[in-house]
Amino acid sequence: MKAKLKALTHKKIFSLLCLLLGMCLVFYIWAAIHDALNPKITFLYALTHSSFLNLKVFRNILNSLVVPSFLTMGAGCLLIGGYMDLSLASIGCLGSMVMAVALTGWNLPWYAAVLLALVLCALLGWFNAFMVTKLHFASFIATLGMASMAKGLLQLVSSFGTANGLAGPVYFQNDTLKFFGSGMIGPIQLCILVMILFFVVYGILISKTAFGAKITLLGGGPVAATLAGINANALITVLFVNGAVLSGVAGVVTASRLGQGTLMALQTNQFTGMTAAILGGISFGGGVGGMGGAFIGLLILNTFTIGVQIVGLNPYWQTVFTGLLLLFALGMDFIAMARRQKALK
Amino acid sequence: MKKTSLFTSFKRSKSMPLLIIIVVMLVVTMVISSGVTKGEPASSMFTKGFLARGNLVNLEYKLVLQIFFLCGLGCMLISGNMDLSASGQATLCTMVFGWVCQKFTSLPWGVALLAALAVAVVLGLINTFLVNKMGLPSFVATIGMSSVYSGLCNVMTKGNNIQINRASFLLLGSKKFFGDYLPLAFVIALVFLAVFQFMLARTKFGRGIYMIGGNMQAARLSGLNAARYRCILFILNSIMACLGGLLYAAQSKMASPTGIISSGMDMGAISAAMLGGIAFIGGAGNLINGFVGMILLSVFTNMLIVMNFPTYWTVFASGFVLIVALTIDYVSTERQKKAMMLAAAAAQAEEFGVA
Repeated sequence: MKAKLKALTHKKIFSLLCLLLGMCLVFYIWAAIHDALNPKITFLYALTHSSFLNLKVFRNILNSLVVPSFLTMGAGCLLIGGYMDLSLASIGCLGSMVMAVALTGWNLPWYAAVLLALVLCALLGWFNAFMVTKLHFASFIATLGMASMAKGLLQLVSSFGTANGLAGPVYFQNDTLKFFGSGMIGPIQLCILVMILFFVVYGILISKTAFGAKITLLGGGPVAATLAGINANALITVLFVNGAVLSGVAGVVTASRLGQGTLMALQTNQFTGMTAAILGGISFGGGVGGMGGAFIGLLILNTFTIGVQIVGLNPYWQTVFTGLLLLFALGMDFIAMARRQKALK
Repeated sequence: MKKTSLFTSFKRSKSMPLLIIIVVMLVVTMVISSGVTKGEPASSMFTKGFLARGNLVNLEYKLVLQIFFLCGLGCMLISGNMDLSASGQATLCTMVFGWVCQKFTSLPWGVALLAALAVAVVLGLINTFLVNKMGLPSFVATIGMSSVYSGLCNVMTKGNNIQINRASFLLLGSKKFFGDYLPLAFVIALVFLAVFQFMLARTKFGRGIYMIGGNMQAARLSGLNAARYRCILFILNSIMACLGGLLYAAQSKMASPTGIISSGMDMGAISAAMLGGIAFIGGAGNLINGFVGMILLSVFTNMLIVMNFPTYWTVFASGFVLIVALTIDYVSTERQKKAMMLAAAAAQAEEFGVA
């Protein structure tokens, strides 16, 4: 029993959950103090009617998870395989714009527009994989180039959809997509259910199937993986295409929620997926980690963002703390590893 | 052993294909942008379009900050490390400079410069601590720090710019030589580039950087202290970022919390360095080739601007050119490898033939 407990506490997910709970506690008390500054409210009342621990905030946090979650899944799978993709956010943004233009400019039905967007994203992902596998570019630099190409294409495509022919947001009206983006099933949004479904499927895929084992092996050591009979190039292609399509899904969700294809949506998320995945214990060098950790990593990031807003801090502090949080999580990782090495000695 | 002539060594260098592309591009741009094809006299090629004074000076100003980033980040990359926080550092240092200038109006701006440099050293030490003492990979650690810096800059002024009005400092950003064709800031940047290239190629310290990047194990066995090298490089890098940022501020007459970060110039410098053959894993390349790569990237985007392409093509092209140039580089290295293998095989055959 004791040994089991000890094994549990040494798991990465356990320390992440502790971090999450600790953070919630801090925000809970902080929010109460913040509310109690108002002389009409006593501290006790603020604690029992917390402005942080309530259903509305919880729902807000879940809502804010949806878009970056798809980026996190794509980036997470790639990182486990030992690669990274800096173009995911730009590709997703391009996908959302293609969908918007297909709906308004070319009058396609919604399913054709979504399909077109996802196919285009898949093509760009395939091109990323081509550069990495056939031309042997470092994935960092190849996808950096792709990111700026996708940004340019995004502006170009948007100019097909706007009235004046200049780059700008493209508005569309579609009830099905609106329902997909912000429709409710019972108490929660449809796309939150979709997100959870995706996380479960990818979690099982990575940690329970032979395919997932192959990815982990590839990330651990490409030479060993090739010797073990894995077709590395095919696997890398699948990973890049998968990442691009998932970011296309993120783009479709964003556009559906806003009712427009924008130039700016997702642009702030260039590192979000990677940050969340690394925070969640997916090692930067590849070969370690899973989707559960990545999900909690993302949850920590977004709880933090919303918590900071509730306690009324200058929103710019949020950027500071996001960086510190990442470093803190990495530092914890380092300390845990040092302890393990000491124990081994 | 045949000594390679200057010409062959040039032909084999990484700059060669890049330079050819640049020359071709320049000629095409000069002809088209000046309107010679539309009946303008041939002499207007040298006064209008690409070679017009305004455009050239603009181009040079855009290169200044990138050159500073290239000096710091190029050495970083050669040593096998990475610093993605360079533009955050540059911004924070310029904000500190602007803040000191504004707060203590009686002090000369040299004091503010010292303050900014002191901050730069501290920022470099923070990165060193994270990588050397905490054992974090430099890539991730500096992503984290860049977000910290960018947040701090915004917190300092609640997102507002700080105007700088020290005449002698602003002169750094506005003074030009040679009939206003050559900005002082650009000259300063080139001097720094030359100094860094000299350091890399001719000093013991520079050779150490290559060794650490090429083979950490061998470097350690030959008595190099990699941690100390990394510390010095991180500090050098943040100082270069600081100086580049200050020149940028002198030119725009203010310290902005977002300007440098949103310009993506550090990424531009990294791309240029890679184009010039500075390997991502370290141990190879030099700054001059990186500089040629940088000129290629900026001349190409500038070419699209003077030829009146819509802006989205320039955004697209900055990625596209990077990929095309890398592909050309890949093809030429493959060909060189093949030629070397063929030569080796021929030599072997000859040897056996004689025996």
